[in-house]
Amino acid sequence: MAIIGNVDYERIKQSATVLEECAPSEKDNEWLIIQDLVNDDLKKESKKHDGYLDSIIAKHRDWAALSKNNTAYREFMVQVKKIGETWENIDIGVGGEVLSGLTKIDEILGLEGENKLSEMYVSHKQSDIEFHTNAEEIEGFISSVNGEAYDDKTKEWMDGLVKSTGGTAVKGTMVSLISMVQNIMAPEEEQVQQDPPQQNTSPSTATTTTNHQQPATNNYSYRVETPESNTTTNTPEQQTQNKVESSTEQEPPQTQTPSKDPTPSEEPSTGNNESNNTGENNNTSGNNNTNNNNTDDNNTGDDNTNADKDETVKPTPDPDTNNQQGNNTTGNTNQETPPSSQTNTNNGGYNTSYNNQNSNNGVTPSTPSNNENAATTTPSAPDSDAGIKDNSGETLDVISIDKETETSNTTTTTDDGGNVIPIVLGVGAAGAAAVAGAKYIKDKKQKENTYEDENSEGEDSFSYLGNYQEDTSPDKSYKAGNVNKLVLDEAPKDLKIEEGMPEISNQKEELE
Amino acid sequence: MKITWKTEISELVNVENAVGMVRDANSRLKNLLEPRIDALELEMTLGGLSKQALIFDGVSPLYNKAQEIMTAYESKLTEFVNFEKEVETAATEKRREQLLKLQSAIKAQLEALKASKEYFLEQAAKMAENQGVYYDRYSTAADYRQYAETTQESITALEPKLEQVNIELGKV
Repeated sequence: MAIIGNVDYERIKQSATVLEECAPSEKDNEWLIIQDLVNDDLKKESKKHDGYLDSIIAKHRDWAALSKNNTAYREFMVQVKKIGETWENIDIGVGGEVLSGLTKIDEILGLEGENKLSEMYVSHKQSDIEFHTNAEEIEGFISSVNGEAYDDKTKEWMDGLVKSTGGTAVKGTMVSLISMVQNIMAPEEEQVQQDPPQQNTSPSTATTTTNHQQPATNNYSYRVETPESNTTTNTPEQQTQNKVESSTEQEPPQTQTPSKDPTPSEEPSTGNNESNNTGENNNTSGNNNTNNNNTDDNNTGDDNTNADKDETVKPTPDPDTNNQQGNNTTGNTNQETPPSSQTNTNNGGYNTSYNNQNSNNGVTPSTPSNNENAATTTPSAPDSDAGIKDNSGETLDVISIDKETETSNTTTTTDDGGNVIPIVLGVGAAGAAAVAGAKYIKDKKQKENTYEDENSEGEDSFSYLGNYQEDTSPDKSYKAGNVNKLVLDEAPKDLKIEEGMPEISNQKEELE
Repeated sequence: MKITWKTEISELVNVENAVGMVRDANSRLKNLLEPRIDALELEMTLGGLSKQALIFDGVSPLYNKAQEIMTAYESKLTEFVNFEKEVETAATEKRREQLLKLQSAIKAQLEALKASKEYFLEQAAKMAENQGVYYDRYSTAADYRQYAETTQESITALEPKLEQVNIELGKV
């Protein structure tokens, strides 16, 4: 086992701070001034006496070396501080690239050849690498030295360090993190980390790494665990009923409904409607972002999830999972994402990324929500939904219409989400189609509660949701315009409006 | 600087003054650098610059770097102390040299004055006996005696200076 680094961040940073205070830049040339003054006086005296000190002054007048050392000293202080920050970022964030950090240190320290830390890191890439942290020792040291000067910032930093080290002064606690980073840096980005325990050892750092560099890696391991989360009592039917009963404000859960099958489909094109842990994934993403305890409860062990894979996963309607989704999604305070009627007001924070990643949420059919707080907690529809207006439930209606038109045609591929609207509308102008579809659905919804029936139909409807979500990349915002683009790009050209839906054609004509 | 018997000792190199200037600068330099050195030592002992703070394969680059910096500081302080000593030595030697020159000049001047005094006294005696002073129609024996007295006064004034120079030479 090669020990490459033994880092004591706080000490390094503290040293840098102390050194900076001891050597203000304005005074760096003070001794040069002193020397110049005395040299001038001595030269006058020496000149008056035939320059008897000329040789001595000339001998000691070369203060460039001192100035050089002074510059090196100042640079050194800055470097020490940089090193501390670099290592802090490496260990706590782990989001920072280790190799780049080591390369930076190589430059700072002027290491070359075999002494380069980056080279060492690469050479030891397959072996265990330990970054030593000693949080308790550091904390005790700081407390003893600084006393009250142990400010909040330091405490915050220490908390992060302790957290990163698993709460104890640990030698080698970063092994798992480094291995994660190695995996991230490895060419196989597709590798799925099958060892959740490692990640659990350092949850905070692990989450950060997954978020930054390898979003999709860990989903599956947790998915296997997720069946535990299916403890919700609500059946999908009940959920749908609840949704129908709920006011129009009840918006479908942003998260895709998790499928009963724990096996996730990594590839978006696979079109597995059954494999859906997306709800869990969504939850996990939320956990990553917000570290909400609530999400943990809801998600049951979904610590590491990557939004990308979440998108790829195609949800299948599980009542149980829906509950989880509802819990998760409800926490989302994001205005853009349509909140599920099942709303946990607690989960507000982390959903932005989730929403961005899962733009499908608005499109996804609303998961049945038992939450009474839905009205209050439901976020407002995204601005992009303005065309569709009102709640995301309308968007769900759009999907439901699609389902009505072509329930059998639902596919798991990402294209399916785009196909939904053209299948329904059969119109080239997707924007108009979307608006028309929304209106139609709204009207239809008011007249008939067909949505319940469709939702009750089973997985197909949810598969639409899953497909649609997969279609939307995380970057894609939840906007009707995006949907239209998807439709235009990917919609089959030969699609036609079913004659059994005259209302759509009427609306089409109106729009045209 | 040309040293003559007229040169005052105060005009010579003042070793204490020259060394004092350097010593003062050295003190200021210590006040400037020693806190930094102390900080370095502290950080190298307990802080982030210690050997245990950052280790790469058994090497503590930060500690080594700090060691280099502190060594450079200490060497500069030592160098400045040496500079003070060198100035002191040079000034002392120069002062000795100047004192010797002054001593020599004073001695020479004293010899000249004494010779003149003897001459004046001799001439005064000849004038009194009316022998050999035919060429000085305007001076009398009293005048030569007066010259001799004046010269003696100069000699008397200059001899203590010579003694002082000798004393100063004994110091340097």
